[in-house]
Amino acid sequence: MNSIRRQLTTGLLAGFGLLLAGGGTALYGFVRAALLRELDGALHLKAAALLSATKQHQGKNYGRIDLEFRERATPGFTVLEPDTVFQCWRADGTELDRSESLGPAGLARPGPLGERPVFWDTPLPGGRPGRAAGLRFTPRAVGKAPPGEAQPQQQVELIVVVDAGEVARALGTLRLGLLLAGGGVLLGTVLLVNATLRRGLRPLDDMAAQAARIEVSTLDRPFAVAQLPAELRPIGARLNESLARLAEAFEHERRFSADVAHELRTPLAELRSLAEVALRWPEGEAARPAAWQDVRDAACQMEAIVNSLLAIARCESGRQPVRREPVRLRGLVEERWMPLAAKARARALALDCAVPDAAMVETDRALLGVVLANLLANAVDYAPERGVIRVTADTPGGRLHLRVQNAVTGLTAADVEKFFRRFWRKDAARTDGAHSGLGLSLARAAARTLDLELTARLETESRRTVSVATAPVTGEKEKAGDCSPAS
Amino acid sequence: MRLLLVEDSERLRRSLATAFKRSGYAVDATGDGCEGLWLAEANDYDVVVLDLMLPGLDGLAVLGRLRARGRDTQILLLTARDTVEDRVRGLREGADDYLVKPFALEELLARVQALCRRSYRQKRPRLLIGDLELDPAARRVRRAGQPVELTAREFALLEYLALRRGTVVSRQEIEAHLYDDQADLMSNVVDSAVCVLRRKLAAPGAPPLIHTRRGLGYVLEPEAA
Repeated sequence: MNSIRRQLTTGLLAGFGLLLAGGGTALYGFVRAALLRELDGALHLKAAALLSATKQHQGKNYGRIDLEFRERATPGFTVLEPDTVFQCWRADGTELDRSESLGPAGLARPGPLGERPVFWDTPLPGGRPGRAAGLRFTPRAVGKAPPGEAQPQQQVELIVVVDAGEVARALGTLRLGLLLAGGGVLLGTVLLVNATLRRGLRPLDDMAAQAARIEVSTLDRPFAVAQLPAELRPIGARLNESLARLAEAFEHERRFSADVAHELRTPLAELRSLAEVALRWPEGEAARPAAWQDVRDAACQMEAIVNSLLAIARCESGRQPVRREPVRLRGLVEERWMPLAAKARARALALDCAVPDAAMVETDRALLGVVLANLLANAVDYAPERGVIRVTADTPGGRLHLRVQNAVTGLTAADVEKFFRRFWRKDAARTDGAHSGLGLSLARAAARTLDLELTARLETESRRTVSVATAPVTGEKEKAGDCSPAS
Repeated sequence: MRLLLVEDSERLRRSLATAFKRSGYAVDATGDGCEGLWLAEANDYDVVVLDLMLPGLDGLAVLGRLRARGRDTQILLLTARDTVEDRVRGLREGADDYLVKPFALEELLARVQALCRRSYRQKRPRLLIGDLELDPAARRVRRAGQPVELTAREFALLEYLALRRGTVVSRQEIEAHLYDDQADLMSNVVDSAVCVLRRKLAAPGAPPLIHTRRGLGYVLEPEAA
C-alpha cells in the first residue's frame, strides 16, 4: 500500500544512511591518508639514512659500492622482530645488501623505481603489515677518480619496509568505531524518524480516522480546521464544504422524500378507505357514483403530483427538449390566461396585461407557457378577491423582463423566500387537494431550462411581484398598451 | 359509542364517517382544528380521531389544549407524518394511539374499538354478562347460546350498557354517547330503543337483563340489585 509514513521513513533513512556512509568513508579516508603520510615521512627518513650510508668508490676499488650501515645498532632494524627491513640492488640487478632478518626470500620489487620515492603496502617477514618505500639513487662518491676515468655513476635501487601494524590497528579501530557509531546513529535515526513522523502525521491520522467515521448521521460534525496544521487546513476546509453540501443534499433529499410520501399518503388513504368502505358495505353510499367521483379526484390529485415531479425532474436533469422559435409574448400570456378565466371571474379577478403587442422572444413556446401558466394560476388562486393581476414587460439591457403582480394577504418576506421550494404552501394543513405546492417549483425548473431567471419579491406587505427575465427581444418594442382580460 | 373525527381531507372524512357510522358509532366530523377543539370540549366523546395538519388549529395544538384542560378522552392521531419523531411527539403530547396514512380500515376500526374498551377499563375483547355474550369485533350477540340479531344502533346501545354494567346510565348519557349532532332526537328515542332491545334480548325463562331505574335511567346486570 502506498503509505506516506513508509515513504518518508524509507526516504529519510536511506538518505541519512547514505550521508552517514559517505561521511564515515570520507573521515576514514582522511585519517588513513594522514596516518600514512606520517608513516611515509618516517619511512622516507629511514630510506634517506640508508641512502646516505651508501658509497661509491672512485679511487681504490673504483666503482665498488658499499653500504656502511650497522643494522644491529640502528633502532628498529633487529633480527628477531624487525620494525624495519631493507634490500638494495645494483643497477645490473645484483643484490647489494639486505636486512639480516629478511631471510632468503627477500623483498619483491614492484617494478622499475624512480628517483622519487614511491610507497606501497607490503607484508613484513612473518606476515605483519608493512609499508614500503622504494627509490633509485646514485650513491655518494668517495675518493678521487683515477685520471682519465669518469666519475662512476652506478645507481642503486633501495626498498625499505617499515612495520605498519600500528597504523593498521589504528585504522581498524577507526573502522570499527565508525561502524558502531554509524549503526547507533542509524538506529537512533530510525527511532527518531518514527517518533517524529508519528507526531507530525498525527493530525493526518486523526483526520483520516474522523473521515472514516463519517456517516449520514454525522455529516453535521465538521473537521476542526482551526486546530489542523497549516498544510491540512485547505483540505479540511474543502472537506467541510463538501460535508456541508452533502448534508444539505441529504437533507434536501430527505425532506423531498418525506414531502412526496406525505403528499401521496393522503390521496392514497382516501382511495384505500373509499375502496374498503365500498367493499365492506357494497349496498351503501360508498358504492354510489359520488364515491367514484371521489376516487377519480384522489387519483387526479396523485397524477398531478407525479406529473409535476416528473416534469421538474426532466427539466433539472436536462432531458427536457427545448425547441426555440419566435414567440409573441402577449399572445402567450392571453393563451395561458384562457383556462383560468372562469376561475378568475368567479373570484372577480381581472387581468391587466400591459405587454406590448410586438414583444417577441426566441424561446420554447411550451416551456415558457408552463412558466406563465403556473404564475398566473398562482395569482388567480391566492390573490384576494376583486383584485387585479397585472402583467407587464420592459426591456432593460436588451432583455425582456416580464412581471406578474398581484395583491396578497398574510404573506411575509420569509414566505417569499420559500416560494420556489417544492411542496411549500403557506397553509401547512394542505387541506386543499387541488394544490400540491409544486407549481412554482415547476415554473422555476422550466425557466432555468430556458436559461431564464425566475424571482419573486414582496414589494409591500400587500403586493408581490414574480419576475421572469426572458430571452433577448427579437421584435420591436412598442408602447405598452392595456389589454382587457382574455376571459 | 360516539366519535369525533377531525380530518381536513373532505373525501377521507366522508368515507371514514360512513365507515364509523356503519360500524355503529355516532360520528361528528369536522375538517377544522378550531371547530374540532370546540366539539371535543362541548361533547363527551368516547374517542377522538384527530388529523395533525389541520387548518385553523393543528392537531397537536388541539391535543395539547384538550389535555391541558383536563379532558381525558381517548385520542387517536391519524396522520401522514410517519417519522419516529412525529409518533413520539404525538404520543408524548397525550395521544393514546397513532396511525399513519394510508391505513387499513379494519385496523382503524380495531384501534378505535380498543380505545373505546380502554375508556371503560375493559380489556377483554368479549363481554360476558350472565348468559349474554357480546363480541364487539364481530358485532355478534348471543343470549343463552342463541344468536340475537341487532341493528348497528341497537348493538351500540347494548355495548354501551354492557361496558357500564352494574351502573345506572341516564337517558342523557345514552343520547350523548350514541347519537351524533345530526340525529333528530325525539323525547322518547332512548326509551323506544331500550324497549326494542329488551324485546330482542328476551329469552324464554331467562331473567331480564336491562332494568329501569325510575327517574334515573337504565342498568344492565344479570339480576336486579
